Amino acid sequence: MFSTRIVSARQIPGLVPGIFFLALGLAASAARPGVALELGRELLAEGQWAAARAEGLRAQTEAVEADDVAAARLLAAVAALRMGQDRDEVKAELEALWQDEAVPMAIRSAAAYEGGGAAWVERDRAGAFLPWKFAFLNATNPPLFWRAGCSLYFLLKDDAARRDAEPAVWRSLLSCRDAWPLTVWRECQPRRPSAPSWASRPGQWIVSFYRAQIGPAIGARCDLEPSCSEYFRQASHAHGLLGVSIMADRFIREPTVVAAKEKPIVMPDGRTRYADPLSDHDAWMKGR
Amino acid sequence: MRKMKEGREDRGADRFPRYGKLFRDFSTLWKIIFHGVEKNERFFHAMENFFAIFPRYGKLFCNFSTLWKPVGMAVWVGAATLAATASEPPTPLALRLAAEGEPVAAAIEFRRLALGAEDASAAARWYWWAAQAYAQAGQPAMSNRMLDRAEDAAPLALATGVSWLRAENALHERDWPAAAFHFDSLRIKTGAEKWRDFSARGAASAYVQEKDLSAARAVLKDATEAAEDARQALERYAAGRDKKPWLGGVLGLVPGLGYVYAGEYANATRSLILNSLFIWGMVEAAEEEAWGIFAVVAFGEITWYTGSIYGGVDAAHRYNARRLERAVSDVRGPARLAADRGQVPLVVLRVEF
Repeated sequence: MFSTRIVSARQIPGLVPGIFFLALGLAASAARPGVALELGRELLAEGQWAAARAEGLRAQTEAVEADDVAAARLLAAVAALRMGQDRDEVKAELEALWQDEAVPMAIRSAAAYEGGGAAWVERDRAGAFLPWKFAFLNATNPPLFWRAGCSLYFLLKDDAARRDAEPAVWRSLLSCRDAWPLTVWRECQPRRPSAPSWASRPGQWIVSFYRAQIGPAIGARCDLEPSCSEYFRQASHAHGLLGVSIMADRFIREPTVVAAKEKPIVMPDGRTRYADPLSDHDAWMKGR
Repeated sequence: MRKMKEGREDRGADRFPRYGKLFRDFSTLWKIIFHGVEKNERFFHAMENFFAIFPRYGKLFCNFSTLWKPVGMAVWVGAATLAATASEPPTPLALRLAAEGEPVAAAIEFRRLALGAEDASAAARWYWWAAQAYAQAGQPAMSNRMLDRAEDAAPLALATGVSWLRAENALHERDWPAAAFHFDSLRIKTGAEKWRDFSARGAASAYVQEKDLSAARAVLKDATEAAEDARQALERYAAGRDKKPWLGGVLGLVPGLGYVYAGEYANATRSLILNSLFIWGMVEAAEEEAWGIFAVVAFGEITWYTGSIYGGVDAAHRYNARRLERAVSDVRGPARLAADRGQVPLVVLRVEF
């Protein structure tokens, strides 16, 4: 069952690429959108969620046309969803948007698709099914149509009961499956998290043991950033057993790096540490 | 008194005949503004008659007459200040944010101004400023995207500024060929010596990063005498030798020797002491047949020993990186380009030391 494997928003079918046609949906909503709406749309496409949310809220106050207000609401809701803000509130906003018949269909279907994705993250199949079905049946632009269909296909593929209850939808999905571009198929396919390699596991165990049992007793003693335990975790994750040697080299170098006082970083607690990232010491392995 | 004043005016006009008319005009204007009321004798006679009839208003008139000058001056100064303020463009929020160390927020505000701009050249300038703010925030990809928009809006209008920012972004992204190309473009576009030196040094530093020393020499050949220190730094780098990482690793088989090879003597001493201690611990544990302790100490020793070998390799790389960094810094020199925020929305660049 893939539903138990879902761990992050990156694995939601089509959620991240969804911003692409969301942008199209917003563009279609107004012939000449306001500056805030246009800027917000760009920021959303660039993944600057907080700034996009701010622009969405600004656009809501500035917009005059009802369609622009709806587009701004969608923009703010999607940005909030990406930021991981109160999911229930965002889901309610998206549901209100896609169920509102006064809202243009381009915005309704984009809101439905996003709402379905929000439910999917929480393993709520029923909550994802209805909005995705709506988006699939009503989407007017091809990218949204493909992604809604593809996401719905993967949802129904592992849910025989719902598939049998909706034979018409399943037949439609199968009939238009050939039209989905391979890139869309790959984007929407649920991805399994990659398991850590066996060579990196001993290092991870040592770090976990240190952080659980030793770190709390002796406190933060490392003067470098990242801390030695984090450096070792990164090194063993990236290089397996060689992480032990990389860590030993760091222990040897630590007093010299601190004495040199190069690249100081003031930590949130006011303490000064000195930057010594792993990338400074393994870049040559990657040919950089 | 009046004769004396007239005499002064005439002398001024005689001494500066060219300004005579202007002098007289100014004098007349002065009288109209500040002495007009007093000059009007008819008015004065009327007032005298009036005060003779209504003496209680006489003091008020005198006060008014005295007040007229400072009030007139204050009104004039106020009007001039208002006019000056009205002609100044409002300071954009983006500039304040940039000054407060919020370059990303500033970039967003510049983009808002670009989207709201009426003509393409203004939009291009605002996009350029957004690109500059993103570059300042360490986001070269976003900076380049804004530069694309600036160029799309007004092709070649900001060629110098665009080349400069693209070169800096390429340096940030460690894309040395691109950095060299853009610095070269800047060198070709600009005529002033300071700029030519700046761009030649930038291109040369990118070539040095790329280890293409002959190209760096060729670029610096076109620079002026002021870039002699860059040429010397380049030759110093060319004359020096890099450490061989593989040799560092082999020497690291003897604990600490790999660090010695790269000139890190303190690290070498620490490595030698730790390895010696753990080997001694292993020997002691073996003699005592305490195999549990032996296993723990042996694990520690393996860690330090492999660390010595890895450290030998990494220390050689560190040495080479430091040598290169020093050479690049010396070739580049202290001069940097900076955009003049006081000239916003215009894009005015200046060389700073």
